[in-house]
Amino acid sequence: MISKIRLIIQNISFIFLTYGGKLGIHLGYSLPCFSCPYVGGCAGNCYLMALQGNYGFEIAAADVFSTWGERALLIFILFLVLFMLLSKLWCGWICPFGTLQDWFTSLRRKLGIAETEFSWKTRDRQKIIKYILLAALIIIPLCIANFGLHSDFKMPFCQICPAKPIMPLFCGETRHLSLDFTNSITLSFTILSMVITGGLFVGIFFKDRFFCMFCPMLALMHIFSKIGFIHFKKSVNTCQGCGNCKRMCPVDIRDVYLEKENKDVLTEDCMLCLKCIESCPGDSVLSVKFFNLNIFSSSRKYLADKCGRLHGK
Amino acid sequence: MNIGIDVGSTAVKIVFLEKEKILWKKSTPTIPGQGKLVNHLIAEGLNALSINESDIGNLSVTGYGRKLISKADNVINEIAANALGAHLLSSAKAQTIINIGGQDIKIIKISKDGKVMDFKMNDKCAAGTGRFFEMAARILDTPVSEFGDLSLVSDSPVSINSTCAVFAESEIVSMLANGEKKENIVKGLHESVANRISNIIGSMELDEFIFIDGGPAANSGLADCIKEKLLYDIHILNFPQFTVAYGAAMS
Amino acid sequence: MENNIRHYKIQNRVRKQIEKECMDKIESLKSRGDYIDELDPFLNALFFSIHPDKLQEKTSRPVVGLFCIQAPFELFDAFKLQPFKLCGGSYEAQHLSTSKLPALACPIIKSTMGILNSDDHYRNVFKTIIIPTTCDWVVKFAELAEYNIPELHFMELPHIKENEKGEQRWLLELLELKRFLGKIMGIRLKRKDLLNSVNRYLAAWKYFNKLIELRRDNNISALLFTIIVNAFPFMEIENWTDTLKAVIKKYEMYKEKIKHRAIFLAGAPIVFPNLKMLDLIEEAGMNVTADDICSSERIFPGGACYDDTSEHGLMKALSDRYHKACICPTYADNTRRVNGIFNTLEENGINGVVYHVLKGCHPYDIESISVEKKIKDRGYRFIKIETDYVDEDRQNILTRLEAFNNTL
Repeated sequence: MISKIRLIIQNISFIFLTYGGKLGIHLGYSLPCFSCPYVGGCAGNCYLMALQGNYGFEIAAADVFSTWGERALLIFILFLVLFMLLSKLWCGWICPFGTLQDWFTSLRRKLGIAETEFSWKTRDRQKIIKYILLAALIIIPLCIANFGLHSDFKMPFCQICPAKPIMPLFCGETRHLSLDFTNSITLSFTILSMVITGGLFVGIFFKDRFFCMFCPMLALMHIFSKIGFIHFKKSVNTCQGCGNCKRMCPVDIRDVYLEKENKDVLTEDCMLCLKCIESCPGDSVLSVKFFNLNIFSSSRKYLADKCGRLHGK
Repeated sequence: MNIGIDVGSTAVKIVFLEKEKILWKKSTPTIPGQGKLVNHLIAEGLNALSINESDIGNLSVTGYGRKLISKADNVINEIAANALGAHLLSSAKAQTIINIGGQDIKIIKISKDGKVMDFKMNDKCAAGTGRFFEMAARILDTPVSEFGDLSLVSDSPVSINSTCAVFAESEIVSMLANGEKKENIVKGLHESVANRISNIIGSMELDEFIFIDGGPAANSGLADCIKEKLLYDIHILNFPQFTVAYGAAMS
Repeated sequence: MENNIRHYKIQNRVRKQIEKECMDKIESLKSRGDYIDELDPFLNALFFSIHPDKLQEKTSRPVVGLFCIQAPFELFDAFKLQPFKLCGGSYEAQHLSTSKLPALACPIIKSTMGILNSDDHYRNVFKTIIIPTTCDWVVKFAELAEYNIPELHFMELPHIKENEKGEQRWLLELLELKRFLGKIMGIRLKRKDLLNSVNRYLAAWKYFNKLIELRRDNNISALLFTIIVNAFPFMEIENWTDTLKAVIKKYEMYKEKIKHRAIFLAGAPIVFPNLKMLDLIEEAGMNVTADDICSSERIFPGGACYDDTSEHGLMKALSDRYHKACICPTYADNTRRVNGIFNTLEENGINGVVYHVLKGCHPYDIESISVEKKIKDRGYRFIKIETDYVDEDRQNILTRLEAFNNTL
């Protein structure tokens, strides 16, 4: 049942965030998800844009305590508040780009095609990429504002982010699917963007939430994950290690399965899709809580009933 | 007047109690037809005390054959009976009981009020139990009641290699034939039984005041060997053979 | 008397004794006060557990011998094969095997070999035998039973669960099994067939879970529950599920709480007709309301949930579930096995564990030491009962179980 509710909320969020702007709704610049500002009808900006731009790290040292700096701080604080309230649920339930990836996954499953698997070592090596991207989108704007880096390097992550060419397609805008021949910098960026977009189309078809493994928003959230109000807890003394959680996880998290001591299992890649909790056959072994209030706990009955419904299809 | 009967596999023990005092007790070897045997014993006791059947209050039965006695008012498991009996007969001092029965060995840990907290019992093999002693008594032509004193004067106990009563029998016969002294054989027997008890205890933690009961327990030589093996003080209960019947009657 | 004739006379005699043993047990179960007629199909299936030839007559499917519970039932169902679980519970059958086995042999192996030896035709009933390399007895069984080893299919069970290598190796074994079954059946498995089988078993698990809930509530006696689960490997899954549904409906209509104290049973398998432990537990005033025995609640691990519907994804789901969720003590990293016990004890207010070990079974005997310590350290009561299929230690065990009941 949780997955049905999630599907509905994901689709509603997608429509709201992609077209809400046309109804005049704008929720600000601090959204902790990929609500792409390049989409004509977007109802709120992805915070990474603010982070890379004038209200973020593209700020000269002298301007840090000016109104620019104050504004940047406010936007950041709003981002933190939004993040604290829903934590990674932003990724798993609201992010439109995530929802898009899930649609591709459904298509693949209907066609009965196998999902690509990575080895444990490869998966671990991929984790560093999102931190590299996050570092780049902080350092490059700083260099533009303070060390005279060419201004065409601005919004470096937005320039290569696959959401920029893809999401506006939903409003009929195709202008980002092009190469910019203005100078070698713009050309390189747009070539890189097209390559990444093409690669991603293939990737997200064959692998669940392929982009999320490299997403710098996830890296940013992880740095602040300790202050989120949502907790993901495991009762380590009652987990028998059946491995269902690991198998059902779209982003191949092993930590929930392997953890034997630490009760807190909200790891860096987790997007709180709750598929692991749904598939855990132990009663109250995995739970997601708002502070100490239980939102959803694993139960054998839930899993048995859910699985049992598959017959007769 | 309450009666407690312990229908064991080797012997049937009966006690007649008035309040907490034992007025009459008897032990007799078990024969097929335990029901009749029990009736006999009750009649004997009534006779000895010059009372009637109507004077009997509660008839409690325990032991291996407890389900065979139809007229019992109260049927109790022998481990619980043993716990209660030992608790009362030791004036609530007993914390651990080692019971050496006819065909089994039980280690029982009891609480402050005489309830069973934990226990261990031997598996199928009856090595080191009453049968073991019976066999030895037969071969050495000496009653078990003299084993204690004999053991005390032993100067070099033999080592009996088998825990199995059947094979130990052959060992003892050949030792006697080789001129080995009775007291050394008896002490060797005691050490063998102490070993078996130690194995059954295993990793179980014992509580300080350890009492032994059961028929073969009234044997200071055996108590000494167990004490040496376990390095705990071992006390012998009063009326060790009747502890279980007493516990049944008092339950 | 000629040796041949002697052989057949003895075989006949033992076969009749085995049958009598089973029929006597069936009679005693049917005459119970809480027996319901809806359980009849299960008892009939248990009759087939000593007659593999009759099982083959009843089902139209080819019969395949199967050891243990690491090879997925779903796969056999997809290939339309009927597995015959080689896990014997007959004491009488041991008369035909003790001479061919070491003295201290696992009673299940003795019984299984005896059943197979009780009729010379039984060997021809099995198209093949699938043998995961679990414990020593299973691994060496075929050699002792003088089977032609190359005709059998061994699956090398990785004895370490929690690493990538174990996961990959068992998946490879399953893929190899799929190829092997395809070869002997002469068909190529279609994805749709596998998907339907997996779904059928998931549906069965849904009802099984309902039965387990009734059991946890102390509404079902352990003996009757055991009939249902012991019959599982000998019935087609839809048949088993339908019969189970009828039983559940009956129980839900007449819910009656059993007055015996609830306990948890762990350890070595308890297989029809040798239900001695369950008889004694009941006599001692207790009822098993939860267990993690591979012949009982864990007969099929259920929960082989999947989100990848490709053939690879389904095989991965089966491989994962049948490997990682199995708590057989042959695994080296089985330390989390007690956690399942804790989960059940906590959620259901049970505070005593009876751990059953078969004499000659090393893995469970070895594991009992660490399991005992962990369970006692958490404050629960624990008793280990070591026994085999003979009757002579009934009184000894009963005394201990009664005393155990008193300590709860």
